[in-house]
Amino acid sequence: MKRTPTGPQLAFLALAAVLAVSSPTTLGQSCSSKPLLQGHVCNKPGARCSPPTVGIGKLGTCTTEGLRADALSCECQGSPTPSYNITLSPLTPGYIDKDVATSTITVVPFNGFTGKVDFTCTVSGATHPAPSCSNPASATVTGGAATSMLTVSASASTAEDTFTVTVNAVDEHGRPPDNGAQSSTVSVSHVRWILMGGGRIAFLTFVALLALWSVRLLWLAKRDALR
Amino acid sequence: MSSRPLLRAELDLADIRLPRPSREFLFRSSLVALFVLLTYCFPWQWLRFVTSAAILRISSSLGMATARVSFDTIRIQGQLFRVVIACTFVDVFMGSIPLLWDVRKSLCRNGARLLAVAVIFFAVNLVRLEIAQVLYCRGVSWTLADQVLGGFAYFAVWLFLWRQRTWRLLGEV
Repeated sequence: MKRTPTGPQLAFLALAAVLAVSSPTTLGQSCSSKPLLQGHVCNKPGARCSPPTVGIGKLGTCTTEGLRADALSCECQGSPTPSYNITLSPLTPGYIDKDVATSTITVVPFNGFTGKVDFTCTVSGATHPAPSCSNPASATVTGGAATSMLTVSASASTAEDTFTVTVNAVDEHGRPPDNGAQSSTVSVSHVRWILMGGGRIAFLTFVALLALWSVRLLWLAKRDALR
Repeated sequence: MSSRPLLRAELDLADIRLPRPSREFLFRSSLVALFVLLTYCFPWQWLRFVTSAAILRISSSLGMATARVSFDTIRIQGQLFRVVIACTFVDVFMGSIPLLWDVRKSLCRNGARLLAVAVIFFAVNLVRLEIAQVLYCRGVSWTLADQVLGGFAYFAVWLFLWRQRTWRLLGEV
């Protein structure tokens, strides 16, 4: 009886085939989740990549790509460097008048990163005056992710437009996050909102009409009974 | 001598029995409340977008200055309007299902009927929203243009449901 390979066996064989045809360079880059990050610059073999951090906090070194001496790539090497990313939730609400919009900044540590992260925020837009944003409070990473709150406020004099709010971060050693500054947008409008549909008055109108209709129905029933 | 009329009156009052709502109506009414509550458990973003898009187009065709601000928000004649769930009439439609369902008909026939009702309700809703827009643009207060008109629209739906009903309102006396 001939045995046919099962699904897991086929998957293993496929994985083995991929590993067999992979070049040593490719294997060398497997230490990073993103071996060749976009935007990295390599000037000469052996130099540090620019920016130096690759993937989850590891240092990148420029190396020739396989047998091609003219092709440089950024390969992650050495021991992991503690680093962090920051994420920014969308500013809520997306439209403000004379109130505030808030967003949560999350510091995601890598490779055992701990310490304080300071934030600065800037607001940019085509029109002025733009809404103001105070620098968010520092976040201290002790193990897991740490958070801080970003607040953008508008007043009656703030111009109506859509503004970009950018958050920069630096740790105690002055290092920026791996993923760079993060941005979110908020719009300012001084026009009052109107909610369409529903509402208490609509319901009361309906109830009043229903009551009148019920009275009429009862009156008709009584008149028919008298006849 | 004076006690006889009083006794007669007591007997007459005892004979009066007020009609009670039928069990079926009470059951269907409970389902109406449940269905409306369930409706508000979902955001209905796609329907709010479609409704706002339709209002935007109709208003634009009527010569009003229109612009989309977000998926549920439109700007008409410089005024921002946010389309909430109640604006889509989906709560009215969902609440109508228990009152429209005919237990003697098949699932498919009931489904087809509900689909037709959904289309009618959507069209009626657009008409009342657009009338509200036109009235508001002509200086009528939003309360009158949208809210009171909305109450009339709800009542029109009730009359439609009343005519389409297959259930008894009152129980046997």
